[in-house]
This record gives sequence, C-alpha cells and structure tokens, in this order.
Amino acid sequence: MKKWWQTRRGRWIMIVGATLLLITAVSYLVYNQMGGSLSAEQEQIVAKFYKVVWVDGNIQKAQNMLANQYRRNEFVLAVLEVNCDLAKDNPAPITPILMAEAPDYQRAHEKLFYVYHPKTSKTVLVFLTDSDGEWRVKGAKANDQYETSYVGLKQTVPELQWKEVPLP
Amino acid sequence: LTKKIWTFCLCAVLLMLTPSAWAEGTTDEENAKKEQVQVSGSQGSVESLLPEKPPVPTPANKEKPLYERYDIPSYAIDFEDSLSNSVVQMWNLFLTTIFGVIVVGWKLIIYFVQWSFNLEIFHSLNSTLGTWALNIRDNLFVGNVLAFGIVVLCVVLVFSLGRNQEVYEQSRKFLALVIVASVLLSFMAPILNSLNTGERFVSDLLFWVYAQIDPDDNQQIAKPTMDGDQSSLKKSRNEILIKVGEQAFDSFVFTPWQMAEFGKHPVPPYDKQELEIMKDTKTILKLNPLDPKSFVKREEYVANWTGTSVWSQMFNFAVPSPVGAIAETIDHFSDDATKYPSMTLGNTPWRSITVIGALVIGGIYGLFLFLLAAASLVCQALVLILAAIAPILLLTIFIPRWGESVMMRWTQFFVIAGLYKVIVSVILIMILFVSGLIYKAGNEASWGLGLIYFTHVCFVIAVFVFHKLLWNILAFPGEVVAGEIEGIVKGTGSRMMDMGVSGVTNSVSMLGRVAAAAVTKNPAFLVKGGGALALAIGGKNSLLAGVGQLSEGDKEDSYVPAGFTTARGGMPEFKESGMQNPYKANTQEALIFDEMVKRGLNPYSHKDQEEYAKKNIKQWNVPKEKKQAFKTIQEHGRIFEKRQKQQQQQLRTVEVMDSIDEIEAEELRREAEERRKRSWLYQVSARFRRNRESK
Repeated sequence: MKKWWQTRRGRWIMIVGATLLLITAVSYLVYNQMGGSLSAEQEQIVAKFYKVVWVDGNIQKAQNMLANQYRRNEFVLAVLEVNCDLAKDNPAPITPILMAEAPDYQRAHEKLFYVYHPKTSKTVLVFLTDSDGEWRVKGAKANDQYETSYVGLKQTVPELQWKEVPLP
Repeated sequence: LTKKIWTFCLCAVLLMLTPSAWAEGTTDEENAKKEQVQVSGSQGSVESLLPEKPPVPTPANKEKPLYERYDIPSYAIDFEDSLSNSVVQMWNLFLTTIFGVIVVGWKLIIYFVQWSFNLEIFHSLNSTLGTWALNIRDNLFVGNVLAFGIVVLCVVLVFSLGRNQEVYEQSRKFLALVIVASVLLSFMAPILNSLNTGERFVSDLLFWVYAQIDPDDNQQIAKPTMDGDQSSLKKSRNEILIKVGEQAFDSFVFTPWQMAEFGKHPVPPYDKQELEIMKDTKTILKLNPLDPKSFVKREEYVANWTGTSVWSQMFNFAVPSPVGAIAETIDHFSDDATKYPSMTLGNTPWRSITVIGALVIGGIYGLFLFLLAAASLVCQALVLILAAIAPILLLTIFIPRWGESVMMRWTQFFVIAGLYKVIVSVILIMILFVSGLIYKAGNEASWGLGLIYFTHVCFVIAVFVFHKLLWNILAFPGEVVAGEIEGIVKGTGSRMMDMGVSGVTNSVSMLGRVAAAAVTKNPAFLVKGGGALALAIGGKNSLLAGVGQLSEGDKEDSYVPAGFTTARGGMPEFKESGMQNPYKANTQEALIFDEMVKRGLNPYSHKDQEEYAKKNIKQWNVPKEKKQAFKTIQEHGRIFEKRQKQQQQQLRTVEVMDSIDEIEAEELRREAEERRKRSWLYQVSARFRRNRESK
C-alpha cells in the first residue's frame, strides 16, 4: 500500500507546494530587501503633496490633502504658508525626487518621509498619519538640521534606501 | 551712587524675570485645564518700559514712522538652526540681545529728543503751579504767617539792635522783598507761560527755517507760513521731529540690522538682489518671534533660505567622519541652496563686527544726542521745580539777611535754567539739521553709510576735543546773566563803575560759574581763568603770534617788548622808553625796525608807520619780502598794544580787588573782635584774669 505522497498525484502536490512556499519566501525577502514598507500609495501621496506645496505653491490644495484633525493646526498652516509663498517666487523644477522613510521614527499610526530634491539640494520632512483609516498628510517642514538633511543622512544612516520617484 | 546703581540693576532684573516667573509658577496640568491667556501679547519685556504712544503722534493719513513700524523683538538676528545647543547659537542669541539694546536705546533717544520739544505735561503744570503760588500768597503771605513773620522780624531786629545800626535799612529791605515776593507769586503762571512761549518761539522759528531749506526732498514736509498760524507751525515741527527720528533709526538701527541679517543693505539704484532683500526685510520684520505662529514662520523662512549650508556640513562636530562629510558635500554641492550665507555659521564673526560696530558708533552719537535732549528736559524741569519751591523759599524774607541772598540765588537759577533750555534747544535743532544734511548726502552713494558713520563720529570727537572752549562759550551767557542779576539785586552799580566791566566780570563770574555749573552739572564752569571773554581774546592773539620772527617770546601769548609804546617817534615818551629791537638780527623786520628808529620814527606808531610806508613801502620796485615784513610789524604793533592794555587793566583790577578784600577782611576781623568782647564768656574770663593779676 503506497502512502498518499508516494503516488504520482501526491508528488505533484508536494512539488507545487514546495515551489509556492519557496516563491513566497523569496518574494517576501526580496520585497523586504527593496524597502518594501514604502507602499506605492504613500509614495504617491508624498510626491503629490511635494508638488502641490514646493512646485505649485497652492495652499488651498495642500490644506485639502491634510488629515482632518490637522486642517486647522496653526503650526502646520504657518509652515505651509511660508513654503507656498516662497514656491510662488522660486518653484522647484518638475524633476524626479528622492524619497526615504525614516527607519527610527517610532510613533503609532504615523510615518516620516525624507524628500530630497537633487535640483534644489534641499531636504523636506513630510509626516503621514492613518488615523482616518487611510494614509493622509499630517504636516511638513523644511529641514533645518544637519542630521536630517540628505547629506547628513548619507553620513549617519548609509544603509537607508533612497527611491527615485517622478513628480505626478 | 554705586548702591543706587545696584538697586536699579536689581529692580531691572526683577522686572525682566517677572514674566518668566509667572510662566513657571503654574504647572502643566493647570495650564491644560485653564484657558491660556498671554500676559503681554507679543511684546517683549522691554517694550513695557517704553511709552505706548510715541511723543509725537503719527499723522492720520501717513504710514507709521520706521521706528514704530515693527515690534522690538522682530529685530532679532536669525541664524541657521543646524548646530543644536552649540556655542555659536548662544553667541547669536547674545548678538540678538545686543541688537535689542541698540533698538531700545535708539527708540529712547528719539523719544527724548521729541519730548524735549513736545512734552505737554510741563505746559499743563504751568497753570497748576500758578494756582499753587496764588494759594500760598493768599493763605500764607497775606494772613497769619505774615503776622507771625512780622513778629519774627521784630524779634530779629530787636536782637540785632546793639550790634548794628542798620535797623532802618533792614526794615526797608524787608518791605521791598515782601512786595517783590507777592508780585512774583501773583504772576507765577504768566511768567512761566512767557518763558515757555519764548522757548517755543525760538525753536519753532528754527524748525520753520529747517522746513524751508530741508535737504531731503524725497519726503516733502509741509512748509508752514510765518503768519502766526500756530497749528501749521506745530505740524511742521512734528513732521520734522518724526523725519529726524526716522533718519537716525534708519542709519543706526535699520541698516545695521539688514547688514547683519542679510549681509547687505540696499542702496539706490536697486538691483534684483537688493529688491529681494527689501522684500524679505519686510517679510521678516513683520514676524514677531514672541508670537508662536510668527516664530514658526520665521524659523521656516530661515530654514528655506539657508538650506543645510555648506558651512554647517563642513563644521558639524557631531558627525563622526568629517572626510565623508566633505565627500558628500562635494557630490551634492549646490549654489542655490543657500540664499543668505549671512545667516550661516560662516558669517558669525562678521555679523558680530557689524552688530558691535553699530552699538559703538551709534552709542557714541546717540549718547551725545541723549545728553543734549536730557539737558533740555532737565532745564525745563528745573524751572518748574524752582517755581514750585519759590513760595517756600520766599518765607526766608522774614529774616532780612537771608532773604536777599536767597532771592538773588533763586532768580539766578530760574533765569539761567530758562536761558539754557533755549540754548540747548537751539543747539539740538542745529545738530539735527547738520545730521539731516549728512543723511541726504550719504544716501546717494554706495559708501554713504560709511560717510554717515564717519561724519557723526567726527562730530562727536570734535565736540570732545574742543569741549573746554565750547563749555566756556556756553558758560558765557550764564555768567553774564548771573552777574547782571546779582548786580541788580545787590545794587552794586556804583562798584561796577569804579572797577570797570572787566573787574565786575571777574568778581561775579565765580558766582555765575557756580550757578552755571549747578545748572548744567558740568564742573568745567568752575575752571579758574579769565572767563570766556578773555579766553576768546587770547585765542585770537595766539593765532597771529609767530608770524614774524621775534627774537624772544615767539609763542608766549602775553609777550610785550620792554618799554613798548605807540607814541610818535618825536615824542619824549618814545625817546625815554628805550625800546629795543625785538626781532632776530638780519631779518627783514629787524632791518626795517632799525631803519625807522634811525630816522626818528617809532615802528609801532600808526602815524609813523604811515609816514614810512608812503616813502619806502608803497613803491613799485620794493621787493615783496619787505612789504610782508612791514605788514608783520604793523600786525605786531596792534597785538602788543592790545596785550599791553589788557595787562594794565588786569593789574588795575587785581589792585582794586585786593584793596576791597583787605577792607572787608579788616571789617570782619574788627566785628568778630567786638562780638567776642561783648560775649558773656569773655567778660567772665576777663574778670577772672583781672582777679588773678590783682592777687
């Protein structure tokens, strides 16, 4: 009496199962290796927000992209106002930007993205939050610390993955 | 004084600490529960020390003047925030503090200058003081006190019966003083008002002239007409005061701030970069860092303008491997990232120089202006204080010997204070006008700020160098007035005639100097010397001395040749004088001198000079040197004559003064001797002595 895995059908099942397992594991590893926690959706939100504020300088659109509870936040609005004002005079060129998620940013339901525009040599910090059930912008700030600038991060966190994202 | 200064410092520190102590007094939970109330809005601690409204109100249809336009904390000096808690950041905070001192200092100076022309409190006090004087007159001088005073007077007179024979004289003086005092008290308000009106008239006149020839025609000032329209005069005065304040604030605060903050100050014609700076200046100065939202915006602007600058990347001490930082910087170097390198680490030393330089240069000129304005205010206050204490002081007339001198001293102080108020105001306006001229000239050139600073500092240095002369000139009117008053009150007219004007000036100038020194708080008035008049003459002579080649006493101001006379050569006076040739041998002057003497002419006699010149100098073939030498001799003749007269007069004065002093001393001595003999103790001791001798 043959066991069920000794049958021809059983062998097929074994092979297919093992292959599927391997593919899953490998793809998981690959996914993790490629900085996979940066989902395409969040990427798009950050890129769009960057374009609205630092290229178009449109405070209205920027305000609409904010999460509900931060729409009337004076701090957030003050910062966005300044950056929109400056962008009206000196808009950033529409060229791809570099983006990375802060690895040591430990807050529930929140994420911090570093955005670096190679053409302007400036780093911007964009905060996301998912408290509404979907990822939305919490706030943003022009970088003023060496440690959080692109050059500084290259120095202190060399393993950080920078991803090139085109502006929408 | 040191104790007072320490007390003041302590009070100031306590005042500064109050808001922070307030903030620390409540815990976080309490803060969270309570609705937050900002204590002083977005005002700094210092702004509560300044008045809410400027002394000169802004006209309704005009923009606020520059010194009022922005809040004081807005003049902070921004710095890239890349080195947290570093020494450099502390240093930049310190620079901001220094700049705060500059801003507050200049605001105060501008306010003081405006107050010195515009303080309405003093004007309203005039009528109050008048009423106070009238009340004193009605309730004290005509009433019980008068009766009481007469009793006191009688007692004083009775007690002085045996000692001096001037009872009649004393009573006459008393009556005269009572009349003068009550008249003075009755007319206190009109007197004060007329003093005020006089000062106003003089300063308004000068402001009117300023408005007519205003050097800066960019900002038109309403030119008033001199048809007695007071409101038009006041308007132009206010506009000039505002304008002058704006100019000073622009030169010594606003422009240095722009230089420290943006590294450059815009000078017309503006290029694109300068227009940017002008725009950003407005943007930043509207953001008061004490207002949280504005603070965030300000930080954001600075972050955008500096990016993460090359300087902070290269000098960051927190990074473990600077070599890597250099490599990264090379890879990602971009010129656009830093709009204002002045806000970065690299500029810290240079902006320190800008700020401290502005403090020093502005301090030198500002202190000078402040002292003048304060002197004007002090004089004005002194007039009022003297008016207020006059009724009390005048009570001393019941003791006749005091009354006269108190009255005299009071009048001296009163008139001198009023006089110096006018003089200081005039000087202040003139300085402001010159400053306006410099400002106009300086604003037209790119190196103009240097010109403005240099000329203002030169101005103060000139005042410092010539302060003795200036004080002497300033003291002169005070001395004259004090002398005049003393002469009037004491009735020393006859003595004046005896001694000559110079003697009087000398004898009363000491009092005058004391009064002037007390009024202006300057001991330079007390310097012993011939007084301003003599100094002026001496100065003139010393300028001419040394033209010729005198054999001796070239540089002495008092040199006169022995036996000097201006009599004609034929007169016996000249022949007997035996005047020697005062010039060095073989010079042109000596030759001419000898030639004239040989011909029987006095080289220093005007008529002999004319006679000699007719034949020997006014010819076409006479060499130029000879003509020059003859001129020198003439000049020396005039100088020697003047000096001789002066010396003779001084000699006379000294003699008269000495004799007067001797007589007075003798009288005093005799009086003291008599008093001693009359005294009870002397008589008792004399009896003892007699008894002992008899034994």
